[in-house]
Amino acid sequence: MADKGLYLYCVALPSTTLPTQKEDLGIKGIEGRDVFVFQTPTLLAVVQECEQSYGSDDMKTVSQWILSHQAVVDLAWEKFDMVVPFSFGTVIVAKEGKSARENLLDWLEKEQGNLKSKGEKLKGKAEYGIQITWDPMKVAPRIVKTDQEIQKLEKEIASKSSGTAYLLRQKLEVLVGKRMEQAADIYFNELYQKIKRCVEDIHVEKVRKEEPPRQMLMNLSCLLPKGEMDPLGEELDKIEKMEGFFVRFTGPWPPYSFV
Amino acid sequence: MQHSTQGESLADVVERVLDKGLVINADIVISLCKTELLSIKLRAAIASFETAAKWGLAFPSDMRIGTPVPIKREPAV
Repeated sequence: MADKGLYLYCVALPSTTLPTQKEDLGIKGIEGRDVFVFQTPTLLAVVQECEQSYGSDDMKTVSQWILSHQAVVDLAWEKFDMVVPFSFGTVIVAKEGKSARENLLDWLEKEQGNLKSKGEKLKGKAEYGIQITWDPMKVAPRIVKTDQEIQKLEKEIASKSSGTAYLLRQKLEVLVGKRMEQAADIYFNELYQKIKRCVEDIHVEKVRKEEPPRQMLMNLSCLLPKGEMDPLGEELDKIEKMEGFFVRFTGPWPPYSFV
Repeated sequence: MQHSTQGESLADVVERVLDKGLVINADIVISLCKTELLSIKLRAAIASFETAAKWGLAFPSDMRIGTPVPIKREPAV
């Protein structure tokens, strides 16, 4: 195994002492390979053997690898209660006369304080994804109706000749866009603060493109103790009831965003 | 494990597994692929599976009111 690498899924705190130093986790990992647990006195690492470098340009293959990565981390999370997940594609290699396994165990020993403290902090907690989208078509009428400048411009358009009205309509278009942008900022901050109060930690992620007409206003990763969902659930229910707003909630996830 | 209350998508998994998780900066580690580039290619592939999203919509009739949504907002301090 000297020329083999070790693909690293996650590190965990052992809930019980394992009988051996290398144990099969009972799941197939990337490319159907066996997944093992290597244990040090204080930590364990979930790994599989792999080539020292490989990749693929086929995105379907890579997607499958990513799903396998998540399935393994999920199982480890279930089994060991607490995991520190690694990013996709982390391979420990053999180097300077040491095998990948020796290098991994050395690294775990060197980093054990840091890893243990991360692990203890995340014990009993889970990550949840919250995505809030809006339908501007449903929200815009409310904003347009109450905006004096827009109301004035609309009256002007109605009273002008078609050439002037055309130019004013362009002006109106810009103004409505600006007001919607301001509204999006206000809603973002208001909803962010409400959600933040219900969770232990929160990260703002990049928004994703949505199927028109919906637009994603916010994409959040939240950390909270498992089973303490009620205040957050109530808050999300209130947001869901707002005309033109939609909430998507996923989880529990291993705490990828908080390591 | 029942994992999702509203059906996680491949994009949800990619967002976490590819973009997040602990990264080791040490010479005993190689990245399986150039992850940043992979992330871009993978997102493009996922998007191509779905209808291409377009910003904006007609309002009130022929008018476009696309709200310019920034990629990432920051909460006010």
